[in-house]
Amino acid sequence: MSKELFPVIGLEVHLQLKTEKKMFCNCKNSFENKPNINICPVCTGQPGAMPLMNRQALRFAGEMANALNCKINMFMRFDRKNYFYPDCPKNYQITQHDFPLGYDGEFFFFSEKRQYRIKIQRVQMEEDSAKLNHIGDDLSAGSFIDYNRSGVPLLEIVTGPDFEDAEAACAYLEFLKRTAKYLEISDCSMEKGSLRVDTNISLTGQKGSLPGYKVEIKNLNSFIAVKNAIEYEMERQRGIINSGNSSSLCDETRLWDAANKKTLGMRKKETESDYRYFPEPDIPPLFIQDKNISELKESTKLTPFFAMNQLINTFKIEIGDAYVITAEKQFYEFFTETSKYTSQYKKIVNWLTGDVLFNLRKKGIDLSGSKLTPKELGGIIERIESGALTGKIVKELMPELIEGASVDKLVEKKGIKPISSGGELDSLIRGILKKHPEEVKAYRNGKTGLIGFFMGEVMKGTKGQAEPRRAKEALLKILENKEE
Amino acid sequence: MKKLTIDSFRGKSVDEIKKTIKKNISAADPKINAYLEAFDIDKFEQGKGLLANIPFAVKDNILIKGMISSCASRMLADYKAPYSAFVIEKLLSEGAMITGRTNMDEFAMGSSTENSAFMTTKNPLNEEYVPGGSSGGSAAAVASGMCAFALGSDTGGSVRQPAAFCGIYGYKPTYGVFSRRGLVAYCSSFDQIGVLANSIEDIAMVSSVMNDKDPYDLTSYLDRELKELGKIKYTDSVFKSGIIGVVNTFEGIPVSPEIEASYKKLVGELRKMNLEVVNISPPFLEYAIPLYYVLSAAEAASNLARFDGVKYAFNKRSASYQKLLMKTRGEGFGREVKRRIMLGTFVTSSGYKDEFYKKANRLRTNMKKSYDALFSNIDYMLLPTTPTPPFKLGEKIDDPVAMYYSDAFTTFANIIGIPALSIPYDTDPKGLPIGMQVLSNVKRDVDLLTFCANLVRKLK
Repeated sequence: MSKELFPVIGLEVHLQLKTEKKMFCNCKNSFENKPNINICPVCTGQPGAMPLMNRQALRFAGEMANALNCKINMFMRFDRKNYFYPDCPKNYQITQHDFPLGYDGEFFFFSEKRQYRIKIQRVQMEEDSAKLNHIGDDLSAGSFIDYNRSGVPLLEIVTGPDFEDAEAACAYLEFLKRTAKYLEISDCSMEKGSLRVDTNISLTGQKGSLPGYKVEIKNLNSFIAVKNAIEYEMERQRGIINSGNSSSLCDETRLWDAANKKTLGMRKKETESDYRYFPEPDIPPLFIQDKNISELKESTKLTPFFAMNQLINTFKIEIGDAYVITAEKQFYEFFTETSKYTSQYKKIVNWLTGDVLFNLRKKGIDLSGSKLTPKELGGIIERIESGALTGKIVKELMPELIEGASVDKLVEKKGIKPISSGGELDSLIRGILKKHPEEVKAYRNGKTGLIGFFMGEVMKGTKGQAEPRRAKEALLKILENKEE
Repeated sequence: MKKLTIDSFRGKSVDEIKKTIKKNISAADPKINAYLEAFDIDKFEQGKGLLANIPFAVKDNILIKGMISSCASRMLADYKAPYSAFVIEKLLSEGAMITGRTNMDEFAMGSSTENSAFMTTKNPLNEEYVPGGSSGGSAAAVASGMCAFALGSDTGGSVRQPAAFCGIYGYKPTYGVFSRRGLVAYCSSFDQIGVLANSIEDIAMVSSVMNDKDPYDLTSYLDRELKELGKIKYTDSVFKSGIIGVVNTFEGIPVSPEIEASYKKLVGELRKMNLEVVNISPPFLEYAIPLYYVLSAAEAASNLARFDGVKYAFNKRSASYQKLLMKTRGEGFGREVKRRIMLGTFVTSSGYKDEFYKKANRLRTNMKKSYDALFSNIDYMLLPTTPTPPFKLGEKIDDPVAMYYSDAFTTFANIIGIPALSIPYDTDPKGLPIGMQVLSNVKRDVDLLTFCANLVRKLK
């Protein structure tokens, strides 16, 4: 019988910071246009060029480290990581090895189902490499080098080996991405490479103890790839261990082959290069002041973790709904703003995640492109509640509402208004019942399930303009009173 | 051979200055080989500013926009600088005229200028002898009237040692006084640009122009006192407040009898002048050379990694990146450069890093503390610049360790970042120059220059 095995999973994430300038020079941080236009002696590694320090990148990194509850190194230093590669203009990368900006953190995050906690080992700043554009598939044909990306600020975030499954790892990635987006420090696009993930995974027979090997998986281009790669790799390793070959598992780097959904061996780690780290002499160590740290800690920048707690605890929203609302900062902010005009919080969630989102998507815009104001939505919800409007009407008007039309004017212009005055509704209902004498008889003989049929007919007859609650009351009254 | 100072050019027209320089270069340089390239100074137009029309030479590891900066290496033989060094910008903005780029040891690695990939520079005082190095071309140019002053770089003595060998003044400031932007890095934490000239006044003048905080060099700083230093003040009061530390014996460092005799003579003169002279023993001085070669090689291996044939300069086109690297670097670098890259890679490799790189770094920290403590008791320190007078061409080129010991008295100033000035003091029995070195604590550059100028005037 195979023994129980527990996965040990850790993630290394690289985030490109969306600063105005590059990390160590004044070149524009932009690399999607023509190649080699945002370059200078520093980011192309010319002789005699020296690094600057991008204060904005430092602040962004500090904000992220703070959101990950890291300790901030009072003595912060940059180091050189020495290796030869054609995309590395100096053939060393300026990074942080011994004294990273943040360390010993603890990140609290949510999935749509539960809350998690993960240890953050380090948050370090470094520079991105240039981009190699290979000519065709055949590497021997040569490559072009685009230095626009060279020197773009990167943040490396390393977790402890604490994830127990692919689901938790993916929930972490999603929430980390949300956090960086809330802080407005990165675009976090895996597609464009502004968020990159390496996964370390191994299996242990004893929960809490680390096995003697670690497999790193690279080339993960989407969250789905991360999930699939972890699950594949767990099975692969489980198979090896269960067949009694566990000694063949060693430190290695594997590539995720998304097309064939498997990991491929790339290199064993014992042959990996020695980076010969040493302190970067061109950047004096930074002594972080207490006041810088307290400024960070007192930062009032919104995080998705705070937003989730706010929704769950203050507004009593269910975790799944809260997770949807907090997907984007503007959604959450729209929610809280709307909550000033109505206390029907659940209704706000329903409208926002339902018709508002649906219509925005249909138009291909996001919330910032919508002209529907929180005040208008709050008012609409209140009026539906009071019967002055119906959901059906608002649903139909939503495409125009997100264009900024006022609901009152629309209703007036189109001549639609909810039929809620007693007399009008009563006569309408009587008219409908007259058309269905058989069903009325059956209902009065105890087949009360027919109420749904009558409601449908009423709504049909009023073209949805009847306020449902009132219509039902009126219908029941007439049916129970046995009036004709 | 006439030594030229900035003052000797004052009041002369730009055409007269050009004529003098062209005449001196064509007379001396065919024999001396100071310049890798003498510029066409006829193209220079009338300068304006504090250094208007003053001719100066530039060591070939300091970038001048649009001109070749070869570092005397095959690797950069055709490399045209895409920008100018900060100090070049400063000097040009005050109207100075660049006479050319001078020969050096390849990538500033050497003490005789024999490691140049292109030619050997001779000592203008005796052509059988080396001019010193690595800024040998700059020193020879100043010593033979081919410019008023020259820029060099000093990583372990490369300004002071050739200044001493050529009988001129050589100044290495406190680390950070001159921006290193545009100086091709050898050992970034030791490298400083320095000035070679025929007078301390000239050094002070040029230094006040070049000093500034450069936003592109995070290690540079503005020294207000130096920036505002106009003329050096001549006053005996500098002697009353200055305590000079001297050594009795050169423990652990082999010093030639000529040097020892000169040094003792100078100490005697100081005592006779009633200066306050105290005996000191410079801490860890005997470890300076090994420490220097561990740390400088470590940084050099990293700094020179960028020369890979991919982006610019020399390359040997090859079918693979590995081959391109090996061929380009194998053929582009000279022997001494390769030796130091190998050494630097070794001392930072895992398994050896603790024993070499880290240990040397700890010693460096201890040295800084010890000298800081020493300088709380003294203001200046007097040492010979070199342990021997100039040596002959070819004499030490096959004995790297003997060559390294040329810097026995100079490297520690780079290790701890203090300023130092080499003064031409004496000649040996063969008539070759002997230099003496005065050092002070960090950021006391103006005190050092003022003290030395007063001392030199008194000694005359």
